[in-house]
Amino acid sequence: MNIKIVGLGGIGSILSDSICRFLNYSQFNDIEITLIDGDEYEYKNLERQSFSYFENKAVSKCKELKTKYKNITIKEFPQFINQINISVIQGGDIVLLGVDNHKTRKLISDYCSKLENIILISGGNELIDGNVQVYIRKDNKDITPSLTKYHPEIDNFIDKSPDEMSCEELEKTEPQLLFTNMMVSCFICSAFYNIVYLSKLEDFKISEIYFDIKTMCASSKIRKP
Amino acid sequence: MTKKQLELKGVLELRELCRSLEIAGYSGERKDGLIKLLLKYYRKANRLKTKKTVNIVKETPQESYNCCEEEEKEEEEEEENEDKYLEDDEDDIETSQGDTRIISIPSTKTLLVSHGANNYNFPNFVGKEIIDIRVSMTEALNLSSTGDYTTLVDGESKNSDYTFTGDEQRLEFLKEAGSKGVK
Repeated sequence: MNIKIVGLGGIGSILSDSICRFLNYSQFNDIEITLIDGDEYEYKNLERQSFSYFENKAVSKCKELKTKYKNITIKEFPQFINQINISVIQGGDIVLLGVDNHKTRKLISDYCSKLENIILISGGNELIDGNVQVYIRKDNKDITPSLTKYHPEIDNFIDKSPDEMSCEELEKTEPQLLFTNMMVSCFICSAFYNIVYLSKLEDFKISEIYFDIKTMCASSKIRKP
Repeated sequence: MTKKQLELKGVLELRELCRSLEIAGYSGERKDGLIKLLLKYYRKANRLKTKKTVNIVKETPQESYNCCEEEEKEEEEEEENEDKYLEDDEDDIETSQGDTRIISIPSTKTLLVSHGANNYNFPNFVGKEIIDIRVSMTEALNLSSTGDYTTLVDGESKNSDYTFTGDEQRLEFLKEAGSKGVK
């Protein structure tokens, strides 16, 4: 099983530890997890993200998780995903996406839509609400819709990927809440568990889950691919 | 639902049922009156549904004439047999032409309407358009009164003038994906 965790910020840093812990003690053999992020861990991240070293997030998290979980292979890929290096994602992978821009979501979704088999679980949030999308392709057929099919804001993104942004732009981050990031991470984990353990791939129907921590509601959506 | 089944219900339950079916003038009624109103409502809705089905099934004017005759006969029978009214879900009835009509109870069935994390069970949605439901649900589902929404009925994109037939289960007003972003 090859898992790619793309984005190691508020969502990915929590997610990577949970997924590694779970798989380290699971029945699966030959698990390889690749942590992908070109960003550096900085003081401004302290309130929501946990890393052991102030350096590239993929490198730091990889060191940390390798010492904790010995039964799985953990690799680092310290770059932002772009058109050139996107082939790091391969057919048959499980991609867990916790990035902060629609441009990367679209890039990865479009790329995955050309692969024969792929499981892509993507999460995003605002301050107190968020969503997780599940895109499954099996034998060249969409089982659930791609990230862009029902989301024109992803398809016609207006944002930039982090490697295109100036320091000034990067400073202007939207406020984020640790608990909302945790909820997204939690729903990504539950979708992962559901797909890998509980359901037959072709029977999986949930295409998106929304939640709101203010109203404490969550709702799953079934959509045609 | 039969008269006996209605009699087993409490007054509050019957009132709630009347309210959900939007039956007018139930508030001052006692139990007997509420049961009468409900039976009348079911009978009327049942006729409407039968008419619709027959209109779809009929092919020639002659057949149409026969159907109408039969319908009138049925109406009379129905009024006489108020007691044994309506089975639980659906009854198939063979017409003189050999066609099968489906007679079903008017819905206590609801439509699951959602926007983001918010869900609402919407009653009496048959015959309504998406736009009608949007207007009634603006506050409950925290919908913007001005913005455009992609609307999905049972997971498929539909225009706002789509009219519900009663077979649908879910209506979703699509909410944008979270960006978790740098803006």
